[in-house]
Amino acid sequence: MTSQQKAVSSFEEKFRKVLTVQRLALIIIAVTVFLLFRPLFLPMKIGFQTQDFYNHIEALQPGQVVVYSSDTGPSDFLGGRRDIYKAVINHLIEKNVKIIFHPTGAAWSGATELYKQLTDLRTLTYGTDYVFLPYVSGEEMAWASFAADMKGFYKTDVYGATLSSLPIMADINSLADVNLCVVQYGIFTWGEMFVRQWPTKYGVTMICMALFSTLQAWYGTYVKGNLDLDLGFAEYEKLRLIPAEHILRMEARNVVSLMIIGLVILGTIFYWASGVRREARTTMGV
Amino acid sequence: MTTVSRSSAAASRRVYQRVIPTFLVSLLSGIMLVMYFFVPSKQDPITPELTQWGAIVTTVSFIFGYISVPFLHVRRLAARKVNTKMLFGSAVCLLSLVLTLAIIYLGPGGQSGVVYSTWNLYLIGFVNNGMRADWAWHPYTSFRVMRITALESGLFVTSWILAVLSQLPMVTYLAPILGTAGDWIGSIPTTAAMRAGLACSGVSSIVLFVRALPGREPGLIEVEVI
Repeated sequence: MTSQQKAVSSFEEKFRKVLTVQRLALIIIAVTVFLLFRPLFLPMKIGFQTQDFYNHIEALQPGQVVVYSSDTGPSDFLGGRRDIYKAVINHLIEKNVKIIFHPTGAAWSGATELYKQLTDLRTLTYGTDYVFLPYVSGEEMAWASFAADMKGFYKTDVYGATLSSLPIMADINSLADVNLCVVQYGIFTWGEMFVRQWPTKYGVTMICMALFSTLQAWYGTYVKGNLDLDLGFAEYEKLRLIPAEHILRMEARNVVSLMIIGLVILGTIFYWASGVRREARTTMGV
Repeated sequence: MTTVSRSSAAASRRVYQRVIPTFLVSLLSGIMLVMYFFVPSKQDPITPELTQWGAIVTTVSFIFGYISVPFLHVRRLAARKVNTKMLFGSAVCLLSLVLTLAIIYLGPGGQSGVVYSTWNLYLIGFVNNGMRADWAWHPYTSFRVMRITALESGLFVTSWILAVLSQLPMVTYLAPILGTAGDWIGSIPTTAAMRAGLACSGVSSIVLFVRALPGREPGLIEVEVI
């Protein structure tokens, strides 16, 4: 090892000692908190997925039917999804459409009252303008059965009222009677399940709120728009001129992610300049 | 004698844990695969029936899972053969389960009531956020682990950097080409890999279907149950 390599190696060791995980976490927290109170208003471009998502909601006509499928439970309203769900649902309500809420998460029924409190659903008439379906397990098969025969599969709504007695369901029997599906999911394998059972079979337009990589294979053919998680949420909020939390998150993401990339590049430089060929350490024990 | 009993019990367990579920799943998926290539008319009675059966099989397997988890924790607590931390974890898990069920069935309004909503909103919400706090590790991990040490890691890290840059609004605003590059990585290679995986899965399903019908496919169910 040359003296230059020894110097680099020594500097790397000192750097590691100074930049401990606790200190790095504190820096990130400090940057994030600072940006929350003093946003930099960094520029943002609206991506094609977000624009498509927005356009499909804008194209809805009054009286048309939308299925809003989500795995949301009450706890998601603390986990950074409150503003985006509120924005999308209020956008749908603005278009005067009928909304069928289709849950895919077991904790759903605990969230229905929160939906009412947080969104403009409180201004609508339950059973006429919108309906909350109950959660049924079975994943893909349950969604397929729902699509084929809504009133046959779900005998009642989430409150126990007979589904066929609700005015909103008078002319709705299957997914063929639906104009748009807004599908939010967090489990990566669900995207193709929805594609298989809904747009492929019934030709219904589907837009999503999910990670793009999980649905890219069908984008443009069966999936017509998407909010690509936090970035998509922020773009949508900007498009809707809503000053919500995801726009602030993007500020923090800009700064913190660039810092991470900088650290990775720094780590690579240290590795090659020091001449020390160590095994990469795992996350355990660092 | 004991050996015979155990052997008999194992054989019996194998029938309901492995043979019957594998046969049912294989039969259903096999018929559906055939129906994929020979599209039936819209009036066919088989599709809704099969779909309902699929929902039933899935639901039964979920219920089996819901029962297994608390059962395993009860068994761990009764046996007391693991360390204190694991025992504590099992106890907390079971207590949470009992408390949640009590709130749902005894609390006002049940699962749609204000008590359950509040419980789920705050307790589960804060637990989720606590887990997310673990993300503070990621930058540190990236620095220590993600470095270009060979061709493979070079390809991986470069793809990762481009994918991350495409998710940064400021970067894609100033240099749109980086957004396009990241989108390409997240789409074309990803789609190719996913489609290849699906093709493999499809071929494997057909093989599984053909082998399981005469009972020649051991499957994974027994391993998972044990």
